[in-house]
Amino acid sequence: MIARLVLLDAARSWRLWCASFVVMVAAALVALVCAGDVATARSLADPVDRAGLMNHAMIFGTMNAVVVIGSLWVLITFTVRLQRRGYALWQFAGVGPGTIRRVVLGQALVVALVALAVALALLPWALSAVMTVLSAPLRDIGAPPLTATLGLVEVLVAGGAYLAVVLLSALSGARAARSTPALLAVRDVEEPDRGPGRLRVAFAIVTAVLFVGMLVAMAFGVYGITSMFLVPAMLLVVVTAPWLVPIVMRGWTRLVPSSAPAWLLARETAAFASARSHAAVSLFTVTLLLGAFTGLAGLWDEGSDPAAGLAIFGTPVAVVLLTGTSTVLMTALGRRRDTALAVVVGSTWRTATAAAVLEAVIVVVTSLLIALPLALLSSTAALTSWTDPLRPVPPLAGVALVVMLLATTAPVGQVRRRALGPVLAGAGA
Amino acid sequence: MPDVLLTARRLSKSFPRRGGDSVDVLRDVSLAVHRGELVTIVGPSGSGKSTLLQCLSGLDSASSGTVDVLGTDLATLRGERLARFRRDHLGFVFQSYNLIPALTAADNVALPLRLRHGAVDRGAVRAALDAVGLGGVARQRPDQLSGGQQQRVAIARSLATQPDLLFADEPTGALDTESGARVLAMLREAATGRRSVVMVTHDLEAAALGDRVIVLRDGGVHRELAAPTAEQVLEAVALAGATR
Repeated sequence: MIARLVLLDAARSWRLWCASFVVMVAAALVALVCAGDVATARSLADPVDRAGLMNHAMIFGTMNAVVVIGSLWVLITFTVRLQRRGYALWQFAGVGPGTIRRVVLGQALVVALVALAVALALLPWALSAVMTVLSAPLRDIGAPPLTATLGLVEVLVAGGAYLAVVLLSALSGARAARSTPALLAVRDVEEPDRGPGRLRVAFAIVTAVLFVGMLVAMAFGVYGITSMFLVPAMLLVVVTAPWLVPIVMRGWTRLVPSSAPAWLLARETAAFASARSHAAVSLFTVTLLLGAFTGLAGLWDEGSDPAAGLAIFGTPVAVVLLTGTSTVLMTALGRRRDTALAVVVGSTWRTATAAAVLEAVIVVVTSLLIALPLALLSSTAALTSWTDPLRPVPPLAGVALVVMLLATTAPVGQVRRRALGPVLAGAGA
Repeated sequence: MPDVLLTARRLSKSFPRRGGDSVDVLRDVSLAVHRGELVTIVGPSGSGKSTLLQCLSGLDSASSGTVDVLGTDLATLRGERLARFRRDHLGFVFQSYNLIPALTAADNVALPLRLRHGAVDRGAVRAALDAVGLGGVARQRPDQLSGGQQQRVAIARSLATQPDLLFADEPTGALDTESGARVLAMLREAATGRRSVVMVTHDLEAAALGDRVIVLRDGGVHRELAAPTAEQVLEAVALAGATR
């Protein structure tokens, strides 16, 4: 019965699982590529080649593991949040909280297995591309690129590690699903987001201690920290987002002396729907900080090899941008209803569109306000020019803004093409 | 000032169904709403009450027929012009309240005023909330209010802009008896002078508050009753249901 519920519900809500699926494919590929690096390194006699591949496996694996765990955590939690009403209805049908938790974990596992199969199909191409890119700086000019070696044991170990990461990331979402109040099924009014769970509070304390420790070390002249300063900074942003984002967002938006209806709607909606706002803000902030990382690593300097930079930073930046975009796109249903509500009380379509544009601006500006001080601090930690980490920020902020604009204005256009009545009733949404 | 606020002529609405055919939800409905009237629409489930209200108010478009509000054919209005017309002349009250969850009760009432006039007279907002007995909850958000309070805020919001026509779709459907009675009294009171109220309801006692009651059956007007008693409405609806 549970298996049936797992499969039928996952099939029904496949659109919501799409983003998690794509990130899971990336996660599985990362794990398999790292396994390929290690297996290939073991088979090589040349110590330089071997060290190069092991180094790539370590940096690539670490960078991506942090990003993938964070992204999956956000996405699965968000996917669960959007289905809370369904979980509440299940409870009226006699499905207990424990079963709901198992169903969510089961769904994550099913999606993860399908993603693993896709990743295995893509693996030969990915490994070949990575080996070609990594071979250039490692080998003599004209020498053939390294040939990847990957056995069944390595695939099983990498696959197992990947599945463990997915299940770990899904735990928080499964717990949230389990604790869905049954009352949600019968309440019409949208409630503000509840506070963070205990797991997040614990993580927040650990990362905050780590981060403050690094700041203290910097203040006392311990400069061995270098650009790795940004790793706990990114973790801190993701974990403390439910507290940090509303403070920063409320703080600067209150300073804007405007009483225009579009601004009021955008400001209050962004602040009220804090789950969707802080997910997007924290992910865009991490995107900007990853960009700062590439600046610190000198990837934008003259004469640097962009392919080598892409081999390390390309996947995490793409995964985080995709996750940020997905969290925004997944809120389209709520945004359509927000638009319909505003229009039915007298908003013109121009005002509704302006409110959507301003909400996008609010999210991106908030991301910048959080990312910029951390990026500047990172230049102090890494003893580089203060402009180094900032160089990639404008183009990445531009991409984030375009993504947000598309995601917030598209629902306005969709509602405009439909009758308002069915959208308000939920049928057309 | 014309006496007739709204005229619907031969209104029909059909929805496409899987397999290519369509289902007729409204068939040739014609009606008029005069100034100062409370018109209630009743009928068995699936008789097209809510669809009729949505077509009359421009929230949905009819497949055929016309709806004239204040001499303007709603079908000729699109996009911005329809949104402005709704803002300037119409008000809405829904069963599910449809307050904007991010805004406080006061901001929900102030929003249509702000959208219409640019600036907001805080005193007018306060007075609108006081009029529905909710001056004390001005700074609370919808999730902090009871269903009855939310519906009264929705009424305050819809009346704040002094609309010519107020549409109410099952406004007491989700309320307890006492809250429902308060809301109905407010709607009855709102239908005076230059303003009219069109209300869809399944509550026959509420329907009997109307100056006129339109009984729908299978998407068409089955009967029209002038100032009926609850018993007369019950009888008409029972007949409509029994002869389906």
